[in-house]
Amino acid sequence: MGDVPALDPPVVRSSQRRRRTLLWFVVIRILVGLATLLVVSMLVFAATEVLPGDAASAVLGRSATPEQVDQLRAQMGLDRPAAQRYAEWLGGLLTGDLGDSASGFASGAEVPISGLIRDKLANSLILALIVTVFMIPISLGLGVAAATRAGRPADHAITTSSLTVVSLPEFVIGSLLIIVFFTWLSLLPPVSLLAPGESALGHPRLLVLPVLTLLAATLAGSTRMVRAGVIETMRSDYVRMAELNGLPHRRVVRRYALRNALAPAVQIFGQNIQYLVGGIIVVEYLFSYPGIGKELVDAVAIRDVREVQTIAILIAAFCIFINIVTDLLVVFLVPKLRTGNA
Amino acid sequence: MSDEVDGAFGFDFDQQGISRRQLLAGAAGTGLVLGAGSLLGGYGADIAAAAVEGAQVKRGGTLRVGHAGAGKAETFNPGRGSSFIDTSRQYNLYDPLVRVRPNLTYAPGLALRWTHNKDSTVWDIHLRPGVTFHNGKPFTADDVIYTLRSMGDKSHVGHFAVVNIRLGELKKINRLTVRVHLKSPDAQLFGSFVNGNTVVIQNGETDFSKPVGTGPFVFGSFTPGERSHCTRNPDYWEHGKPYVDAWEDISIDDPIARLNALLAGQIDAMSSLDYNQARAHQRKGDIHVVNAPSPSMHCIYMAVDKAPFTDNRVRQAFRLIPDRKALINGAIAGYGTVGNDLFGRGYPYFADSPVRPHDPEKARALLKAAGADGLKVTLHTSDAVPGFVEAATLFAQQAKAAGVTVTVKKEPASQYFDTSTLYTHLDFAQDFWAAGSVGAWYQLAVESHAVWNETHWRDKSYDALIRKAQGAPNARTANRLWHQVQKVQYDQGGYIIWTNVNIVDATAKYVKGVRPSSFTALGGWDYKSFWLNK
Repeated sequence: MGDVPALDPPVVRSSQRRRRTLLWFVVIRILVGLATLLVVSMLVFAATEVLPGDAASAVLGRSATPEQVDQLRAQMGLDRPAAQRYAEWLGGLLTGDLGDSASGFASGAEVPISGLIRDKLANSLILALIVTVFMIPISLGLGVAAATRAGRPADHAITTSSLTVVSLPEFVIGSLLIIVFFTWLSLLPPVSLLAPGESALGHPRLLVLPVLTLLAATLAGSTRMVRAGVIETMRSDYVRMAELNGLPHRRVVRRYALRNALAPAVQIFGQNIQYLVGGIIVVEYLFSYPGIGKELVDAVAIRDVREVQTIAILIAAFCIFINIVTDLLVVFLVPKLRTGNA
Repeated sequence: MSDEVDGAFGFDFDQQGISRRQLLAGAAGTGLVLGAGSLLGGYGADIAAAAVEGAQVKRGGTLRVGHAGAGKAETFNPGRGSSFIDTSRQYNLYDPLVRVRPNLTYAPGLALRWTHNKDSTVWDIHLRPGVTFHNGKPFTADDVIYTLRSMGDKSHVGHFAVVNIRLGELKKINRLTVRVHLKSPDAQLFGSFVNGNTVVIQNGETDFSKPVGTGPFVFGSFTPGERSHCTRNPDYWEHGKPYVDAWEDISIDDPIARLNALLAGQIDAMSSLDYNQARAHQRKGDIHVVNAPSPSMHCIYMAVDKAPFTDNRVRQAFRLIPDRKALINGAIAGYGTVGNDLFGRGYPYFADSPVRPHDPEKARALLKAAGADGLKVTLHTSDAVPGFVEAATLFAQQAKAAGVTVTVKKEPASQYFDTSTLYTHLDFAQDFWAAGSVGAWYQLAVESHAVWNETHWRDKSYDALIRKAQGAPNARTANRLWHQVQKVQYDQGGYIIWTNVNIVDATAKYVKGVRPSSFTALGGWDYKSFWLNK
C-alpha cells in the first residue's frame, strides 16, 4: 500500500498489535455478516410466505379449482408447516443442495435450481465486472479533474452533466441510447438476446448498450463523491502544509488528497457494485438481457419460494461480502483508521 | 338412444357441414373481412393455394419468433401452458384433431371425419392414416384415447373439452377410429378440439421436458422464459411443409424491446404488437403488420348477484354508458369493431343484435327508475391486458354524463386472473375473451358452474337451454336455440362487450406465407406455411 505520508502522526503502536486489531476487525465483520444473513433468510422466508397465492396456484393458472390447487400444493410439499420448510431449505443451502424449482411441475420434470441460476448469475457478474472496470478509473479521473478545477468551467460542465444524468432513471437513459445507436445510427443491436447457455462474452456488441446505460447510472454518483472528497481533503491542514512545504501540486493531489478522498469513494463504488449484481432488473428488461434480476422476478411471478429465497440469500451474501471488502479497503486507505487513532 | 353411428350423420369439412351458409350470411352482415376464396373452395382451395405458393417458395433458414413470455411457467405440456407463447409451441410441435382456417371455418387436422348417431350422443372420430410421431411411432386411436383421458384431469387447461365425454367408455373401434359416448347430445363435438390445449400427445406421455408430437417441428431444446429451438419435421404429413429448417420461440416481455428486435432483424416475427406502434408502422411500411378482425372481445362485466347490479335496469343503463367508437379509438388505437354485448362475432350462430348506442340520457332515466341515481361504483382494472386501463379511464369519464361516479382501481397484473384471489371475485371489472365457438364461450363463462363465470350468472333452466342448443340435431334448430340463449344475455346479461378486438402481430417484410387469421395470432401460429425470402 505505498509509503505512509510523511506528515502523518508517527506510528506509536507495535505492528503486532496492529495486525491483531485488524484480524479481530475482520473476524467480527464476518461473524456479524453471517448473523445478518441468518436474519435476512428469515425475513425473505417470511416475505415469501405473506405473498398472496403460491406456486401451486400460479403453475395451475386461471382455470384451476381449489381441489386441484390443494392437490398440487401437497405434491410440492407446500402444505407442511412453515418452520419445517424453512429448516429444510436452510439445511439444503448449507449442504449445497439448492433443491428443485417449482417450474418443473409444469413440464413433469425435475428442474434443479442451481442449473437455473448459474448462467444468469454469470451474465450479471460479467455485466457488473465490465461496468466496474470502466466506472472506477473514469469516475476517479473526472472527480479529480472537477475537484482541482472547482468553480471553474470544466468543473461546472462535469457537475452539471453528472447531476442531469443522475436524475434520469435507467430506462430513460437506455431508451435514449437505443434511439441514438440503433434508430438513428443503426450501429448497435437494440436488444441483447442471448441463447440459453451462451456467454455474453462471446457477443461483445450485445453488451455495449447495457454497459453504457449502467455506466451512466453509476458514474454520476461516484464522480460527485470523488470530487467532494478531494475538495474536502484539499482544504485540510496537512494538504495545506504539504503545499506550503513546496511539494509539487500534482504530487500533493495524488499522494495526499486523493488517497484520503478515496475512502468515501470506495464506499460508493461498493454500493454501485452491489446494485449491479443485485439485479439491475430495469436494464435487463429493457434490453432483454438474461440476468439474475429477471430470474428473480420470474421466480416471484410463479411464487417459487425456494428459488426466490435462494437468489435473495446469494445476493445478500454477496452484498455483505462487498461491504466487508470495502470496509477493509477504507481501513487500508485511511491511515488513522488503521492505526486505531480514529 | 342408439349406439349405432350412422355415416349419414356427420360433419363435412368440405361443406363446413351444417353451418356454412349461416356463417356466410353472418359475415356479410357484420362486415368482417374474411378470406372468401378458401371459404368457398373448402379444403381443396387451401391445397391449391399452397401449390401455387409452393412454386416460388424459398426453403431453409431459421424462423425466430418473439412473444411476451410467461417466465418460468412456460411449458410444452398442453395441459399446463395457457399463455401466448405456450399456445404457439403447442400448435407447432403437436397437431390438433381439428384446425381452424383464417376465416373461422373448420379443416381436418389429425381427424379426417367425424360421424355420429341420430341424436349425436355417440361419435366416431376417423383418424388420419400415415401419420407418425417424431420418435417414429405411428399415430393411432390409442394416442387419441390417451389424450382425451389425460384431459379428464381437472387441472388440465383443456379439461372443458371433455366434460361431456364418458371417458371410461372411450373405445378403439379399429387402429384409426375412436368411439366417444357423450353424457348429453352435442352436435358440434369437433369444435371443442381446435385449441392448443387439446392437441394430441402420444400414448403414455408424462415427461414434457422432451416433448414428442406429430407436428411440423421436432423438439430440440427449451429454456422456459428464454427460448425454445425446434427443427423441421422432414416426415410431416402435410406434404412439403414446413418450409423453414428450424423455428425458435423467444421470450421478449417488453413490447417495445420486442418490436426493436424485429426492426433490428434479431427476430423475424412477433406476436402482440402494441396498437399504437401498429398504427405508426403500418403508415411507415417498414414491417409487415398482420392485422385480422376476430371474435375476441374486450368487455366490462357486472356481477349480477351484487348490488347495484342485481337490478337489470342498472345493467341496461350501464350498457348505454360507453361511447364504443371512442373507446376503440382511445384504448386500442382503432384496432377493433364495435361490440353488441354478445360474444362470437364471425362464428356460426352468432346473434347480430343491434349495437347499443351511447345514450347517457336514457341511462340516467333507467337509473332513476331503479332508484340508483347518483350511483358510485368502483371499476377494477389492470395492466394484465393492453388497453384495459385506458378503456376503464375513458369509461369513467363517459359515465359522468349519466350521473354515475366511477372510481378506477388498478389491481396487480399477477393476481388479476388468479381465481384464488381476484378473478371471478370482483363485482365490476374488465376482461378479454377468446374462445373457439359461441358454444364454447357459454360453457366457459355463463353456465352456472362455468370455471370463469365472472358475471355470477346462475340459472338452471338457462343451463338446460345452453345444453339443448349445443345438442341441436341440425343447423336450423341450433341457430334458433343459440339465438334464444343470446337473447337472454342481450336483454339481461352482465356483460358490456364494447369491442371485438383485432389480432395484431408483425413480421419482417421478407417473411412470406403469413395469412392473417381471425382465429388466433400469426395466421393461427401457422409457422409451417411461413418462408423467408432473403
